[in-house]
Amino acid sequence: MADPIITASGLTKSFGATAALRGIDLEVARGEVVAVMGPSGSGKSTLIHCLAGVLAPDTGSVAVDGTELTALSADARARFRLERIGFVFQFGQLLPDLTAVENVALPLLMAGARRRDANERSLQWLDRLDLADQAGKSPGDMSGGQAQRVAIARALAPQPSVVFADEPTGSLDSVAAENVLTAMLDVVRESGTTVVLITHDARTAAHADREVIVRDGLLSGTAPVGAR
Amino acid sequence: MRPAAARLLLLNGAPAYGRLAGIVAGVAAGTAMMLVLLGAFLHLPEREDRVAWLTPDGDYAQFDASDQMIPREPQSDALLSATLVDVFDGRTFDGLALAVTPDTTVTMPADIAPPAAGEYYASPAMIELIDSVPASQLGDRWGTLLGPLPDEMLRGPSHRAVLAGVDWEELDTWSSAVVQEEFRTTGPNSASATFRIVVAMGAIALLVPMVLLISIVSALGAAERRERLATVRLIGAGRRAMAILSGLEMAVASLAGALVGVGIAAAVRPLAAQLSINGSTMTVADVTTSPAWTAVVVLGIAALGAGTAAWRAYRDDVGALGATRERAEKPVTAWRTSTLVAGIVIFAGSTAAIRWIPNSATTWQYPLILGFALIAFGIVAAGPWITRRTSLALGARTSSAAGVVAAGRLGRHPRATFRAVAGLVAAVFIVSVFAGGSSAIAGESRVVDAEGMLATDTLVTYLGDDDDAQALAEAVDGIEGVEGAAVGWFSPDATVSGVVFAADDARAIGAIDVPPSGLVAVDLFDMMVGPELSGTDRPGVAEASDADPTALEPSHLLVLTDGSREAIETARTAIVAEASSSLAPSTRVDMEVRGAADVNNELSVMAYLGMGIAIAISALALSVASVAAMLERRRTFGLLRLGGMPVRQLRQTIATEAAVPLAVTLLLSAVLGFAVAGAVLESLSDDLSLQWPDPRYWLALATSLAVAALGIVGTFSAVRRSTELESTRFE
Repeated sequence: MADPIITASGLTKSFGATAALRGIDLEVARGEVVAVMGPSGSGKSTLIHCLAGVLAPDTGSVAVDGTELTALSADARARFRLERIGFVFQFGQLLPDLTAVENVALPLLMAGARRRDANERSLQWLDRLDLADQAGKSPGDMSGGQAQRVAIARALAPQPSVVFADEPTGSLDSVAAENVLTAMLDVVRESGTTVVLITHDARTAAHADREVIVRDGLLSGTAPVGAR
Repeated sequence: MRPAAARLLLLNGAPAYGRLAGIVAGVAAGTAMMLVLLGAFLHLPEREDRVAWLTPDGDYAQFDASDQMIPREPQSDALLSATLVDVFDGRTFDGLALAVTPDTTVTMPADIAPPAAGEYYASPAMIELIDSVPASQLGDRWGTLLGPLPDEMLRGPSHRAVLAGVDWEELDTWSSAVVQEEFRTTGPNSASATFRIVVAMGAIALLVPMVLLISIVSALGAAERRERLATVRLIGAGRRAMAILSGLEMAVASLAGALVGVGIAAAVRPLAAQLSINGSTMTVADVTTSPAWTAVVVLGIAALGAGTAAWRAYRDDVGALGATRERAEKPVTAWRTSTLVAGIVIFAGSTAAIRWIPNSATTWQYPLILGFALIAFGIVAAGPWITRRTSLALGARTSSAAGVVAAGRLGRHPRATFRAVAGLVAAVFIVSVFAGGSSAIAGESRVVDAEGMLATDTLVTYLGDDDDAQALAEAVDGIEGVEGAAVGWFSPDATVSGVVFAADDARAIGAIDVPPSGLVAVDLFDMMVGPELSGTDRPGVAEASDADPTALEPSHLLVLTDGSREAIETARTAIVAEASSSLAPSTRVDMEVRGAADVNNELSVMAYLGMGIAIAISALALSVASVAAMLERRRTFGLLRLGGMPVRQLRQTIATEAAVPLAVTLLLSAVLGFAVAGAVLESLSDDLSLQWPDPRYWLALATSLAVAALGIVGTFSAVRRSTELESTRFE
């Protein structure tokens, strides 16, 4: 691969007697959107947690944007995630006590941005995701799709190198899911951000550039979308 | 309720036992204290009844046309009595001078034999004091000791009291003596009213943190068991059934706590009885509640626990499909301050009534307690509104992630966030009240020697009509440490203002600007009270050369001493034994001791002890509330950590959420506490006023803050543990 932003090799990870990853090699190109698919319990989440530096693999190495994550301490990995990685999850990721703009501004503030700058950038991201009119609302006052788009804005606002999205549309109906996914991918492609997307849904995976199949802790296949 | 549901909800492993143990400990401590306070509350009037005999209750002497007292003939069906105002080495004691005829038919208290002239009874504590010093310093004041006063005539074991027999004709000359046909059997309610108010306030003060603890622990239980609660809903439990189940659980825990509290109360009663109230320690019976009252307290606390938990469970309804949907609290409005305002109005009105309507303390004590309770609860009720207003200001100004998260939480959950610190806020209010109260005595007891003032070791005797000034002066002459005596005179025809002394004597007692010789009129009052009350630091001295020495009458005998206890007490004893007055000679220091009384110190000791319990319970509540607040957002915080939020910032968030409402309401509590203390002091006495609090207050305040900090820091390990990346699923 010409310009891999993620390079993982020989990843293994066990939880007690259960081997979640049993030796995975994976490269993801800069700006690529990769869909990770597989049945429940196959090791998808463990894989992206290792790729994102959330979990340290038992063996193997992970380099993201030139940084070898397995060489970093837990605190350094946390700092790395804050600055270089964005996350989108299925549900429950927004702080219900904060408004949309405050939720988006949070990682910027955590990274040391000034309040005014953080608010301005957050409003810009909300605007890009057609949420300008929701900026002052709390998550509880929004629809599920709107809340997910706020979460996407929050993940993208710090301008990360990679976004990990774990079933980002899993809690939405098909129309909302399509809208959210389209909105997210439009923005990341425009900004050249790499996305690693976990999904069970073939329709969601169809939006990616490439599919990776995980089964029993091993990569069982990888192919460009539409090639199968 | 289905047994399966009950098992799922109640048998929840180690966290449940820890939670329930917290409730049992908090409720036990609170119950024990409440039982002791209730015992004191119920027995205080009875305690004052026991010493009702000390209060003369009869007719004063009549005066004829020439202003001479009309003698009262001895009679067998009446007695003459007068209060003895006396002191020994800074220690006050109660005393009654009594005169009866040998054939008296008056029934004595506790059926003791009436003391004849020159005989006296003393309480065991007083006898101990008398025996500890030479008779010439104390025992000789009243003659021969007949024996101890029985317990039925005393406030408690450390009560110092004397019942002294005096010759009828002699006592009849005392202006303070009254004729009465029987002894009083009921004490003046006002004597115990102040202490009853204080005790009731203490009980209320304990109730607040206890209710909060139960409420907060219920919330923690709900946060810890959200999935289990959802499962119970799923298998068919309704919202009401859930409330009943939670209530039942808390009733059992509260009941267990209350029963443990009964045991603790029994164990600490002998210790609690050592507390001095109104000049004496108490008997264990004085702080013991009857079985019926004990049952009422135990069942009441269990019911309170059950009701609080059931209400919380009903309100925080957990749905059948897992986590409850995040709800914002109902908006808090300025109406939440109405309880506080009502309390202030009622309290201020009651104190004003007690202050301005004579003998109304008994009537107004209940509105006063109500007003106090409303203020205490009003601060807690108004806290969320204040918290909300503060959060808006914080949210607009903060630049930190922790500040933004905390402001959001405070703004949307002002009730929940304030509840975490409400116990401490209420505790600070109570301690401020008593610190304010006890500050009065600290401010009162500063007697200093200064130029122009009467020396602090000079005894002042007010002479009666029949007293022979010269004979009294001779009685003290030769006592070791007595450095001189000066007789003061007054002018019956008021041609001279002040007390007249020979110029040499005036100089000897410390007067300044005294003419070289002759007679001088001295403003003795100014010399005794000092510039704060007299308004001058140079008490007036004027020539009295025009005074007719033959028209002057002796009014004062001043005895100059070296300040040693032996000299002062021996001279005082000599004069008491000879003079015909109920008022023993006293120094300026003695007057302060009598004027200030030990009441405030006693109250403050009680208050600080109570505060210790309240602070401990509140700290437990704060810690539990912080953990519950964190657990409620465990998933969200876990996600934030996954996104790179350092644990440090999470901790800052938790700390800010607790610190902001604490800081803003703490100030209000302290100010209101002092205002309440000031109002009480104003209503109770002309002489007492609010002063700067003593170090114990600052210590209590610092302890409260330290306890709050510890409560918050105690949750830090839970913050890390509960949001561990490995222990949170993020799908």
